[in-house]
Amino acid sequence: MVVSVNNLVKRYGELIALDHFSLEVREGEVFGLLGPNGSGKTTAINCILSLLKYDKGTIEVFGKPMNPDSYESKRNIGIVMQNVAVFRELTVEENINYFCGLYVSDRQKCRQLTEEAIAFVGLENYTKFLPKKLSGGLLRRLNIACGIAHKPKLIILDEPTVAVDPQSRNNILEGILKLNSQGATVIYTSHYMEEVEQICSRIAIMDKGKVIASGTTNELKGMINTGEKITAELLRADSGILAGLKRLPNVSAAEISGNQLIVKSVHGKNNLPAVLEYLNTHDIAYGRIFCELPTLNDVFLEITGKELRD
Amino acid sequence: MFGHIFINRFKLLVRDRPTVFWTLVYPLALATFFCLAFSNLYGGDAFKSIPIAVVDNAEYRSDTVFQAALDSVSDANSASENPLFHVTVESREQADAGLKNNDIKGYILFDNGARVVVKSSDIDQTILKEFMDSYLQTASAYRTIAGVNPAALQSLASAGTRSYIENVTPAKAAVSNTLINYYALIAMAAMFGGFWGKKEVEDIQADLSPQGARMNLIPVHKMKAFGSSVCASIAVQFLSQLVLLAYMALALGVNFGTQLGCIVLTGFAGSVAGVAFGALVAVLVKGSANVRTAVMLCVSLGMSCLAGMMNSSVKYMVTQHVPILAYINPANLMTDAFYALYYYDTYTRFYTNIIILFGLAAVFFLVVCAATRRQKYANI
Repeated sequence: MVVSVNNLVKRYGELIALDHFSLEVREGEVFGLLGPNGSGKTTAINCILSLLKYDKGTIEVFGKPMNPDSYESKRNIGIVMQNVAVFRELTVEENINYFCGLYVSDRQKCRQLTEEAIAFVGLENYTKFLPKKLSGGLLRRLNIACGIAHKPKLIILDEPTVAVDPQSRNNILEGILKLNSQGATVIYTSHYMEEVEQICSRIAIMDKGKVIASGTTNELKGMINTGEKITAELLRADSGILAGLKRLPNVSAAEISGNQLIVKSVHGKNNLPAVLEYLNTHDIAYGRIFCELPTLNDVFLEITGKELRD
Repeated sequence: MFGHIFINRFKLLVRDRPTVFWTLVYPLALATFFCLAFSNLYGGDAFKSIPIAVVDNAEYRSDTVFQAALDSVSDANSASENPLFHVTVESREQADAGLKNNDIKGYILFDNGARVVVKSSDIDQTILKEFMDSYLQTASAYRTIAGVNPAALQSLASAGTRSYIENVTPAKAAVSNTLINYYALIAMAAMFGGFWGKKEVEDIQADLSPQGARMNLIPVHKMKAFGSSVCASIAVQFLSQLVLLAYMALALGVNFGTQLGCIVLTGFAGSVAGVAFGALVAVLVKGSANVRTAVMLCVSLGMSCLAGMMNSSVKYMVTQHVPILAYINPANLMTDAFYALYYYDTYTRFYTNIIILFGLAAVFFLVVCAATRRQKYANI
């Protein structure tokens, strides 16, 4: 295990920020920590990094207990903070070189790694720019470059795409997968389920300081009863059709919301042909019909009773 | 690692424009302002000889004693550095015309005795009148004594020239109140070095900045990294002090004495104390960065004022009535070190100040290290 956290408890006075939080991250995976704001993701990361005191539990990184003096472990960790942590007085190149030089003492090697990091995040045209001259997306890329320039074995990214435009977000996500393909183990925290679903090989869903579910995307979706969801935009909504739809095989629920008919199937079953046949047979006119597989939000919703973004 | 952190921190600090303004540009501007203000102040007070006239007639020409007395206080006497009067001897008509045109402040007319003729009553006319009254009174006394006891005149003359005061040199240099203001200004600039110290703490503490959080995760002992950064801060502040000292000495003509080594040492001690003071404020003052800046600025200015920056008498009052405050105020210690260096032949007072200054800096840094060496935080 690259990271092993067992029964971690962290309190802020009366508030329990981490409630017997446990986690295991294997070498070479992209591990996602998904949860709404305030669920304890950043607190967990700060505890793993030995920045925060905690009340109970054990943390091991690279098989050794993690504490502030674990310099050997720290040498192999790269961190990309939620807040941009660069020096506004240093240029892009100087910032990356400064942070890289704190890990790599060989100047020549440091310079080479700096250049590689600049190329990796695509800041070649901005090397002499001060951070204040960069856009939000470019600044995030600089933040990432400062965290990964020394080629760490474990990279922890804490919500790196907050307030980033879609294009930069895609670049960042592609970059993370590239780092992973080069051998780095990645821990990625986010409250954007699409991102986590897109890049993570395993995911832990957090709420109120606890891991409420963990596994691969398919494993997580397999934990819930909700299956495929069919939505049809009716030209004339009539609640009288619901009873018939509910009697169809594998339908777990049917409802009308506005002019939309929503039919939910039981887990693992595909019901679209049956629903289409029913609508056609009963001369129910519809403008558009589409089918959605369950998302991580559905997983979160079913387990906690609330939306991820609540 | 020391070199890497030191060089990058140095680069980073000298580009921090707001702090460079407070530690260098502002003191330079204030020193220039002081120079302008003080030169006007003392330039305005310079005494100018009062233009007067004496009416040329036979009675005046016959009174050689008066002529000698007038010469001794007029610019006709080259031995006098600040003569009272600029005297012209002219006819009565010319004197009246001069008085009317304000070319002279008054004139002396001998017409069965000497008298003063003026057009208005002001300080110059009063001086002229006082001079004449004093002369007439003394002349009258001499005439009376000469008539009654001529032998007493000899001893009276020698008594008049005997000095009862012995000149003692209390200091090696002339006293100047404005120097205290300049010295306190340098001390203020040194205390503003606290901005660097504050920045160093903020950039190493995970609960004060994201950069601090990142610095806590590097594979280097926190105190080693902090020590390297602080050295860079002291170096930048020391350079600022040298620039300020050079500007004051060379451009503004402020006199620091001739012991260059001791002057530089004072600048260095002040830089160390200033940076340490700022770091102390950063660890002791809870709240936002703006609150810490405000506290640092207010305390620095307060210390400089107590050291005599705005009024040199404040420094003396503090030393006299609250001596302990004088000894724990780094700005006062620095001011006093410059003062001692300039005025005294011995170095006891100077080195006492320097040692206390370094001692205070050491105490400040110890408190800072005790507060920052912890590497885990209750809250971030």
